Amino acid sequence: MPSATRVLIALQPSMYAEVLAFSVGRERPRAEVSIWDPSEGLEEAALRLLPHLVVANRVPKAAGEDWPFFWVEVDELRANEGAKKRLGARISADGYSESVGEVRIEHVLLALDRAEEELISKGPGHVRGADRVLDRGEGAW
Amino acid sequence: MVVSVVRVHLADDHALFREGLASLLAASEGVEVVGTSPMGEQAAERVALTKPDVIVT
Repeated sequence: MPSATRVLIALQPSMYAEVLAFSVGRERPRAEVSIWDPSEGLEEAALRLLPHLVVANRVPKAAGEDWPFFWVEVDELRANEGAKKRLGARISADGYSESVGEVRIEHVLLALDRAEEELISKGPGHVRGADRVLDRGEGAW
Repeated sequence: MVVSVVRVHLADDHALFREGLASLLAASEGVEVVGTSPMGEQAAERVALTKPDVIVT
């Protein structure tokens, strides 16, 4: 049986990380979900936990050179910006990337499913540069 | 025995948080999420329709 898909979530506010972790755990019960405080060395956490998917405000892309992972980089919320109506994200999976204007749980689940398919079932060597950003312009997300 | 259920509406502009919190609350005993919406007019319209006990914003 293939190993579980590991998901590392490092989002602020932490409330966002907690509800996302709950939803991912509920929708994909086989996934191992970890929450990490983004202020505490996310790159080091990625190298230690070896996630297949990272969901963070700032993804440590350099870590992907040693361990390929897919990622969802969610816009940061800053207190001095006031209420931000939409929460966008950039998503990178299997060498492609896509921007979404309003990130949803389903975007994260889709990236997770792709990570499971590409990184676990086929093995990390199969991936065409998991942390590389390419413009595709298709509506896959 | 009468089991009371708290009917909740979630109003938040960020779909990621709104959907996640709805999922979490829906799993809680005694809570029914009767609606979700962004803040503003949509929330007011939905709340007028569903008449929740609690509005979370």
